[in-house]
Amino acid sequence: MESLLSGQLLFAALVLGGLYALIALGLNLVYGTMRLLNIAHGDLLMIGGYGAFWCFTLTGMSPLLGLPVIAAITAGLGIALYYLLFRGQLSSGKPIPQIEANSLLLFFGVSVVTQNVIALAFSATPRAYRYLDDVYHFGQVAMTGNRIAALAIALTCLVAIILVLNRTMFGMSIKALIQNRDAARIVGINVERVQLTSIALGFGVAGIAGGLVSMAEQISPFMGFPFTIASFVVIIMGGLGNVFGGIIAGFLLAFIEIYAVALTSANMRSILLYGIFVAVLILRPQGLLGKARQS
Amino acid sequence: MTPSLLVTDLTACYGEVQVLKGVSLTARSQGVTAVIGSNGAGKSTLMRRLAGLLPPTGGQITFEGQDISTLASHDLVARGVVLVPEGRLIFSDMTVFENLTIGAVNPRARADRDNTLETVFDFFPRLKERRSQLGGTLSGGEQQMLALGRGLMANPKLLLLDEPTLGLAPGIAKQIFQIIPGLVKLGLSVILAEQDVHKTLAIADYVYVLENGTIGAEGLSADLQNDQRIKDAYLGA
Ligand SMILES: Nc1ncnc2c1ncn2[C@@H]1O[C@H](COP(=O)(O)OP(=O)(O)O)[C@@H](O)[C@H]1O
Ligand SMILES: [Mg+2]
Repeated sequence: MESLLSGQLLFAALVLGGLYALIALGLNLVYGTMRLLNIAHGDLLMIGGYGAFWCFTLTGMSPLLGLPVIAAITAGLGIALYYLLFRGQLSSGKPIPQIEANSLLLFFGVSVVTQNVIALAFSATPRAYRYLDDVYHFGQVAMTGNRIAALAIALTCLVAIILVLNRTMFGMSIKALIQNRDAARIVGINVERVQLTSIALGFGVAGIAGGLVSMAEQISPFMGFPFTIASFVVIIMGGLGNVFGGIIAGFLLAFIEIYAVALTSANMRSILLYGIFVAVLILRPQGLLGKARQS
Repeated sequence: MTPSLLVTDLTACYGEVQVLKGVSLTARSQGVTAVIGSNGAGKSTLMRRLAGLLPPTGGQITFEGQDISTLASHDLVARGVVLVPEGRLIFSDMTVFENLTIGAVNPRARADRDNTLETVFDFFPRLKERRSQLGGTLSGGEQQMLALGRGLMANPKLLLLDEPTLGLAPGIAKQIFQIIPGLVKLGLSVILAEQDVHKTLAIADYVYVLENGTIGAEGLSADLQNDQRIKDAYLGA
């Protein structure tokens, strides 16, 4: 019981929460603005992880310095997919359920292709590197440098994005598009440009999150799926398209996960995650924290 | 009369279904041009097509002498063609102030935002009182004021008003109608889609009657008031 109250679990939950919140934010932006269900979202983390890995092992450069390049690569992938797969769908005036269903299938394809391309290129063997793994002690709590860095960067990204969403006309345009697509067009928002920026931002942030994860955990071509599931759990808990609800839900899921695993065993982690997923869908599909979009 | 908007042989479809079957009309500059017609005649379809919300299928739209037939909605707003839609479509989870701010998203309106906001608050003092309230918590009449105010924030030259008093109590409906001449005085041109013929004839300069996606009759308000056919069809016994 004593260990449950220790700062160690709290720190672990905060680090994981920051990552979940960041990952889910990207998924939420893409879903909220375009109703695209990105089931390949976790694979973007995987790409980011490999980016950081090669950045560090080939150049010896800090993977943190590589993050902007990684973000640019995954954002570029988002832009390419937008033009190749989704732009036509979105402007065709198809009903939303059809766009959601199509996007799910298309992203499933993207996920399979991405995983296999990476596995072919770099083999399926898990990889890891050691960076900033010195342990710092704060009272009873031991923290590795890379986890502290991951938390700090995740929080910085979250705050920056929240500021943009709340304080700029462009951020307000994103929120407006999420709330009511028709009304967004009526007030004169350039919907196409907001969509493109949202997918670039959402994908870019997922790449950064992957880089952060790779500093502390091993990476493999198939590491993405649990993150996909976690981020879907988070955005459903937070209310689909509800950006701020998703951030809170990210931390909530991380706390549930970390403390529940501490009470049981690490083997329970996946069961827990899928269990929460199913439970939320059955009990409260509109999210714990309410809706963001108007019907 | 100088035309603000010139529409020639305009069509509009939802999928396979053609709703507008060749509509031609002229909106006068700094005047109120009305489109009346019963439910389902195609008024909203016409307004949405003019606002760039429906894909172009045929016909021509000229605004201030330039062809705008195929422009996207945000380009039309930027040029000053602004829709206040049927059903209002305000952002329910944004405050009144945020709704108005986002109304000025186009570059031409952005620079002048604070002045325009004052004008809007002069027209609708109620919105000033409720500026921090969420749009969704306003009454129907207040939501209509917000939709109008949001439209004005875009700094429009041509305002497309689609049934602005639909579902409102008579008192508030009257209030909304009384604002329209004030907008014209500001220099705006207005196209008003309405079902209520009496009220429309009272404020419109020129009226088109839309029937099944085509213009069935047209004329100066004063002339239509005495037209036997209009009387029979719309004004009741
Ligand atoms: N989104 C839509 N999809 C298919 N048909 C529609 C749609 N909106 C309107 N219609 C049809 O177009 C016709 C004209 O509708 P509308 O323009 O809304 O008329 P009005 O505004 O004059 O009441 C009606 O027959 C209506 O059923
Ligand atoms: Mg209508």
